[in-house]
Amino acid sequence: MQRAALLYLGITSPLILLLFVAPLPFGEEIFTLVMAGYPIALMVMGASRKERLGPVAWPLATLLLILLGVMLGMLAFRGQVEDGPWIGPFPAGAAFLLYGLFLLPVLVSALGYAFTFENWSLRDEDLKDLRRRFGGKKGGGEVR
Amino acid sequence: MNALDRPAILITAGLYLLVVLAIGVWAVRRTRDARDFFIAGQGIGLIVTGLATMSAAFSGFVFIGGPGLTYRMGLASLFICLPVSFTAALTCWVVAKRLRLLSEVREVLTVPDAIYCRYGSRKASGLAAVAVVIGTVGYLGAQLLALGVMIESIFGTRELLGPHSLPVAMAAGAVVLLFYATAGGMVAGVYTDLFQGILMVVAAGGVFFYAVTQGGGLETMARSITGSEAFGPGFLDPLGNVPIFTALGFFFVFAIGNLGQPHMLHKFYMLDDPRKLRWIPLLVGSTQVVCVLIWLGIGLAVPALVAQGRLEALLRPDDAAPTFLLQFTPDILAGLVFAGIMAAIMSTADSFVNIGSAAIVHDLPKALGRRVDRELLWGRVAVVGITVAATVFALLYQDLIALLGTFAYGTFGAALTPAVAVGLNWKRVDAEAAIASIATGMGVNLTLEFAAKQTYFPSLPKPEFLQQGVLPTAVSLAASFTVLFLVTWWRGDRKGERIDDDVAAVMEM
Repeated sequence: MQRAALLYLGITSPLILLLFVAPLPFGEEIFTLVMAGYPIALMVMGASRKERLGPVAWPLATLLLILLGVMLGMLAFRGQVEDGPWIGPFPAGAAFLLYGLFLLPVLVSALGYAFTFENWSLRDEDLKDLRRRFGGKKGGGEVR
Repeated sequence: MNALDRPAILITAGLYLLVVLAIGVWAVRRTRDARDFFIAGQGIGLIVTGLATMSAAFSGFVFIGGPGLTYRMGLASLFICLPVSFTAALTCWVVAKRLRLLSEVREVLTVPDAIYCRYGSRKASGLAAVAVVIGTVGYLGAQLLALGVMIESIFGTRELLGPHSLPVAMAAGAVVLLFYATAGGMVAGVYTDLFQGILMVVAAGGVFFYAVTQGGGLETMARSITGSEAFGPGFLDPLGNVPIFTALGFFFVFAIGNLGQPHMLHKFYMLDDPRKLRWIPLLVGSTQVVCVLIWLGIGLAVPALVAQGRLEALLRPDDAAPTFLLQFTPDILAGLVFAGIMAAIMSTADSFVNIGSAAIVHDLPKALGRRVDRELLWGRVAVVGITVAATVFALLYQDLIALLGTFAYGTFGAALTPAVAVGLNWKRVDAEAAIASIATGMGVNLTLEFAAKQTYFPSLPKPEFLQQGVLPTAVSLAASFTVLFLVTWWRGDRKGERIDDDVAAVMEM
């Protein structure tokens, strides 16, 4: 999975740069969708261990769906404030932003991180092993 | 109207300042060496680290600059702050664990230290230190500017001092900041952050509900804004009021660039046990979400009140928060919020003077193969120099607090994010790629920012894409990532350039 994430980042970074400096057809729409995947690709890169995502795959997949939904929702209701639907007290585009980008991800990402931490992100045995192998050799940023 | 006529506001804000000064005095006795000064002796627990990270991230930029920017450009401005809902987890998955584990096996005090450990290159760590100094001057400038606006509002100095009011107010704020930052270093910083973090959460929650009440409820506020000539329906359209590249450019810079913010990354070194990282996203994310409510609340309430004819249109967008607090909240809440905002400004400013001074007395000499004797003493001297430079820079920049903050945030993000975030996870990235990425991020950001802002050379053309709303900081971040990937792929898999075993072990975890 890490390779796929790096490939995504490696391809979309120059694409984003190109979209910024040269107008392309559907450039804004492409940029919007790329933005939904970019933070997820970074999380996949960071959370992968030996090319596997383990239990972290679930919260990250959920987050990707949320971000894609938010971006598509905002695009779909762009320019439709007065004559478009309202969700609760806000026009639909604003509602996607405020509920989808602001409130939902905090639960998924923070709880997803906490509940996969001990058996995936930092296992006790891995930490003990690191300390046993290198903990007593603390040199310094400038050593070696 | 100013707070001089309302003693409850002054008493609350005064009490806050006394507590902060008391923590500074207490911290002086606990700061014995450079390790205490820069990373609080790596003995800080979960709650303090979490709240210190949150309050370092949130600043005058969020509390004063944010509502000002929303007043100017509408809901699109919220792309700056709303990604806080996932950035804490993003940071922990991508960099926090590895930075903290690096401090298990190496003596690392700063982000440039981590870059040195990872790449074994003095040039890379030295360039990173230069980026830290430049970003620090910008970000600290934004804090001092926000502090100046606050002091002007509380004491009404604008009527008294005219054009000299803002420089005088900024200087007064800088003196208080200098006291506890030079005296207590990071020990003072993290414990004031704890106190300030709690205050910020309480103040933000309180003001949000008050803003909604004053505006007549969320739907009434939304309908008032969309029906007004001054703001119109575009105000509530996240992708409609400004170009998408501006709106989502903010998202790109602030969500992704978050991974290169040294004032936040630095905090992870201080955590006493890496296993406590487990709860950091929940603690930081949930408190940040509450704090963002002040931006959202005032950002919607002030335009709504202007649209309803209950408040005059603002002459300066940055006055949105102080004006709302002084005119529409009871004294106790206003005092609490003013104290909370000052807390936010001070805690971030303190983090910045600390990492800036570490870059000057620790990282830059190390990159040149030297070591400064008496780092603690010179660290304190550097704090004074950085604060003066930041004050002057902020006065010369002459723009909204949020835009000054965006420049500084973008400088850190563009220069450091790819080298730190990708570099700590992908062994194939080598020192040459990191150096190229850091130099590109910093160089493109400074060049485009100058091109966008400069008035010295009228004949110098402003790039077309900047005129269409693309953010210089977003371009520089994309360029920095692009260069890192291109140079890495171009140089191939150089297995001869081995990463030290301990660093490699950290990267594999």
